[in-house]
Amino acid sequence: MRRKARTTVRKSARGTALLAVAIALAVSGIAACGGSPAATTADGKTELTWAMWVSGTEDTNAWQKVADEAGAAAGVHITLQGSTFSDHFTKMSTQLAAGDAPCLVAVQSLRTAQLKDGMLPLGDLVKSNNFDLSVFDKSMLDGLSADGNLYALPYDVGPVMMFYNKDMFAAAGVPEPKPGWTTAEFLEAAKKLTTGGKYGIAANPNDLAIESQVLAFNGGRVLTPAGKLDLGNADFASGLQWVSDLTNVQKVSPQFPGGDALFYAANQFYSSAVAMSVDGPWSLLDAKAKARFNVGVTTLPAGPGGGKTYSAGSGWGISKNCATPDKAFAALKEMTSAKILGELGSAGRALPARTAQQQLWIDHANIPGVADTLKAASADAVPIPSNPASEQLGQLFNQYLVKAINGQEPAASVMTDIAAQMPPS
Amino acid sequence: MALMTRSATAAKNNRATPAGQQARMSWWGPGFALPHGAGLLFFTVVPIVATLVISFFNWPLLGTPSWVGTGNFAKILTDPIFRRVVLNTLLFVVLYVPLNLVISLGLAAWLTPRIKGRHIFRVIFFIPAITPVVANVVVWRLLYQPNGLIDATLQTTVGVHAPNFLGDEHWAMLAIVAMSVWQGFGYNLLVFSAALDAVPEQLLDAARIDGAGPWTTFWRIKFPLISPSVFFATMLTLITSFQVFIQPFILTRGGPGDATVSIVQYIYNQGFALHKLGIASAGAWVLFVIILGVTAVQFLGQRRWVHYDA
Repeated sequence: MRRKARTTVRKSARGTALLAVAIALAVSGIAACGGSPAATTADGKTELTWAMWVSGTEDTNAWQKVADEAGAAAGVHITLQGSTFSDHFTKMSTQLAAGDAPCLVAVQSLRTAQLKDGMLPLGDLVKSNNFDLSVFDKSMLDGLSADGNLYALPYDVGPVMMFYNKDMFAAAGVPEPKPGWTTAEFLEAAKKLTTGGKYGIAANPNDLAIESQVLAFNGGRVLTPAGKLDLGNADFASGLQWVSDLTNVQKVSPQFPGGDALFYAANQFYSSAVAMSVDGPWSLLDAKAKARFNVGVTTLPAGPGGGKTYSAGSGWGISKNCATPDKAFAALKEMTSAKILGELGSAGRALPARTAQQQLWIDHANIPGVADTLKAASADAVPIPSNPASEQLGQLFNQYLVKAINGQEPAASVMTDIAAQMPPS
Repeated sequence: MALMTRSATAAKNNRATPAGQQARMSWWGPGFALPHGAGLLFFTVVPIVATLVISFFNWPLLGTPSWVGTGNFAKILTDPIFRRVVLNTLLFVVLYVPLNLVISLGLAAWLTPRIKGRHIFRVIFFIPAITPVVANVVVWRLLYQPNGLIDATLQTTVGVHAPNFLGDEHWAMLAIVAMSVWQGFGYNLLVFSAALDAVPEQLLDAARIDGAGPWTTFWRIKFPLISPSVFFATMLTLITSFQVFIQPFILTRGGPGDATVSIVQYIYNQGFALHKLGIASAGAWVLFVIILGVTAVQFLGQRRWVHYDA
């Protein structure tokens, strides 16, 4: 009896040990294999995850709707995976390199070169699907291409513009700006708007915003049209000095506290602490939802030798490690369909990259002069070039331009500090 | 013969029982330890060894790694930016650790059982430690920024502008330290408070009879008795403060310039923004050696002031 009991115990002990080994192996197996295996939902639909930047509830709802509608039309299930814009690219470049990125990945045109090594060139899928690219804005197809390959289908496009608070302009008795206004007119307005603890504009050292402001002021570029870094560019440094002087010489902009530039500038604008903000059509939905005042848009103020603005936009592509690229492309086609881009346009979330649908965004904006502004801004817009080091440059701008803006160091010497940390171009 | 047989059988039986038990133990033991052991192996030992290996390679996130020997360490130790981030981190540690310990020990000493509502105070002081750091940091940004709560209050009451705490390189680190102390002292307060409660009442009575005042009682009786807790708290606070990352990352993104970049942010930037995993791993090992050195010095020094024979 005792012997039997002992054998049973020993047997079950061995069983337990084997079970433990099995569990340990299973755990290590889970740890070892990443990637995007082809998963399906209970009803047999292919499961696709879509990495997208989101800002706030309105934004999340708009993208969730795209995921649901495009998923239903393409016969797949799309799960939205959101992160903030400033974290999206760090996260994506890591995931793409490690081979465990989601199937569908959002790309901003100026960061195409940075992500391309982990992305699938779409040429073959476009050809085999007989997909017509001519309906899209040509500059965005270029923006989302690198080395002659298209990496994403564009959903929005837009020139960087100036958003302004109509109520504050009216209260200060300043006439509303017209497209094509000059930096002299801008400065005059900003000075009148700076009163009673409020300011004309908030500093925004986000790369797209600051590079556009300088380009409009004097044509200075930190990236050549071919996408090469030109950190020592004298025009860019003097343009940057002009933007910085708005804070510490002209005093029409509050001292900049550092931190996330986009977040700060947008919040200062939405809370009526400043009257103007450099932004793009992609923010209009957010602006209308968060601002408790009438929002106006106009072109960036043009200075001598400037006048142009950068256009940027974004699209969605497929990661190289995606197990079901055909399904992913089917989803992409639906996500960028005339119907969905039209809806995003009518909601004000994105100025559609499909030229035929752009009027819907203009109608929704319902801001007198927005069509003229867009026309004027688009006419003067040049696509912002992309460079593999764009993300690093953006981070260093965010970190170092604080010193120039707050007047602790001249812009040219800040650019020298930044150049010392960048790879030789 | 019979005796021999019997004793042989006895010996066999004697051997059989413990051997059987041993076999049972040797299966159960590893069986139970295996899940934990596997976790330790795959999630701790393997990554540690992997970072050591990677630190000797030029290891881009994409592309093929190449052996560079101690090249990454040489590069880091001669990099002026790395020197700057080490100094930044040391400055943070030197300011943060003493402030944290003084405040938490002071408040714990004040929160004696005679204080009414001490439990409520304990909860209030502990709340910052359990709320998410990111949320705390965002709120502190609103306090610190120009026209924020501090600046606006100073303007309406005294009529002067507060400094631009986060945008001025002379203030930024101090602002981060202040926020971190507020966030971090609650944990140490609880540790000290619990240790002080455990000090035997009769010792304090004896001291009082001998004519010791509160100051003498605290430093001569209470402090030696809670010294193991103080040692424990000092060690943990030192180690975590060397790993500071989230507060400067969200408050200033490391700016203005490189005034508030910490060692961990340097590692993060090298690894995830620049994709130089070799440099990032080497940086992590340098940080490990710094922490190991400081901890070793602490252990050597504890003999002079930590009393375990209560």
